[in-house]
Amino acid sequence: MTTSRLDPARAADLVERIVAGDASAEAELVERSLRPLRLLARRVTRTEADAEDLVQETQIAALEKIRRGDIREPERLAGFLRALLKNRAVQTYRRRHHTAETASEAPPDAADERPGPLGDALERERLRVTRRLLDELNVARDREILFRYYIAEESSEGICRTLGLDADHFYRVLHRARQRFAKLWRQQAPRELHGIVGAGLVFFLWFAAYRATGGGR
Amino acid sequence: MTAPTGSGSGEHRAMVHPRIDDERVVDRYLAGRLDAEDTARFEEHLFACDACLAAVEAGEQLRRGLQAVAAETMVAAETVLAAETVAAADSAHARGLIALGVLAWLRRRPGMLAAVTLLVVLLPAALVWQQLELQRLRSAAERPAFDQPTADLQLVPLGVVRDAGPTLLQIDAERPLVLLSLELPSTGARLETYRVELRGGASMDDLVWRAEGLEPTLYDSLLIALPARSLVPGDYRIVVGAETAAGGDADEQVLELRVVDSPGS
Repeated sequence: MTTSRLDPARAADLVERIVAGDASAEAELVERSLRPLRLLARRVTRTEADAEDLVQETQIAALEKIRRGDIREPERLAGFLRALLKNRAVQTYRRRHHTAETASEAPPDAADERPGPLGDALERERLRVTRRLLDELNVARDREILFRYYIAEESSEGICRTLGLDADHFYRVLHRARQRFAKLWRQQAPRELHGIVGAGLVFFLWFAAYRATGGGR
Repeated sequence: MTAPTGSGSGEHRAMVHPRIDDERVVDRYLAGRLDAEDTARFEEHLFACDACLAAVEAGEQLRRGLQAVAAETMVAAETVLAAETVAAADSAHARGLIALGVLAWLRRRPGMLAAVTLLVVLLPAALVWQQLELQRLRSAAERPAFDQPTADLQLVPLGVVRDAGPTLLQIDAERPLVLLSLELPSTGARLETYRVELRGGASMDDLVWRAEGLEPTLYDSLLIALPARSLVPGDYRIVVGAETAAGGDADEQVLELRVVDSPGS
């Protein structure tokens, strides 16, 4: 698992080193920002492949801006990365929307919505782990809490009122479910999945280093 | 504890850990219930805090996993979401939803589904087989076996032979039944049913046995089975009569029977 910690002090340090032409700092930034960016990207895209594309576009754009010295508040690098990702997502959406409108007024190609091999593997694994988690929940009410909160998007207050729970119990169920899911995910995530993600990361690090050393200019 | 990121102002306070824990920010973020500014602050916090990042990653995966489960087995989700409705609904509806939930549960367990399907098919078949077998055993018990005599009885044909005197019947103590075959007159109209009286005693007029509604056989005779012990030695008259369709009595036919003891008794 990659490191994610990118606190203000470390962010300022990385920005300073990248501006100074330190390739290892670029690789470190890519690695440290990967998990949070991927998390945010998944929340604003439909497929795993789109999320990965968005993360890579964001990181490339961020490195280019940092190298040019466009970051005015290096300690707020996290906010900058987040804003960059959201802007990129909006641009991508607008570009696709515009292309679809000007092309033939046809609906978006269904192939665009397909998750791809990595997404397929992730979705299968996620489904398997979720089912196992649900199977492990002995209390039917706990399963109901998860579905009501995450799927039906009922308010916590409403669920507690309906099921006669106090808030502590409610959040304890969510917390335990998340913890158990994370544990199962770590235990069961297939090796090939790690391989695919790992290969993508190695390629990206190589690409970042290649660009940092002046390749392709 | 993680230092806040960004500068808080106004109503929005810094996104730091006491607040994140106290206000259940992770859960609210996952459920999309943070406002835009708190969302931005928390997302920036995620770059710096491994614990929150791991929690949100797990929660996000769980949320998407639940969506996938719900999408693939919609009935399961419906069952859970409709729990409140189920409680208030009539029992038939509730049973339907529960059945759908069970089906959804079974869909995820092919082995169990196969077993239940087999059970559902086999159980009625087994019940039907059991009923048929019980019926067969019952009728077998009621029906005498064909490799044995169907009845141990004496057959006594009684016909009208003028001036021939009474028909002699020698009671066989070993045989419990006497079957009297009464030949009906060959002349006159056939009636649907007949009445038979057995009269004995000194005057041969005491009623010993009587039956009505007896139907003749294909060979124009009436078959009457009597317990041998009811026929004590002596003379008997068998009166065969009938009621016509017009309501009057048809001509009676009288047959005579003399019962004697068996030589061995």
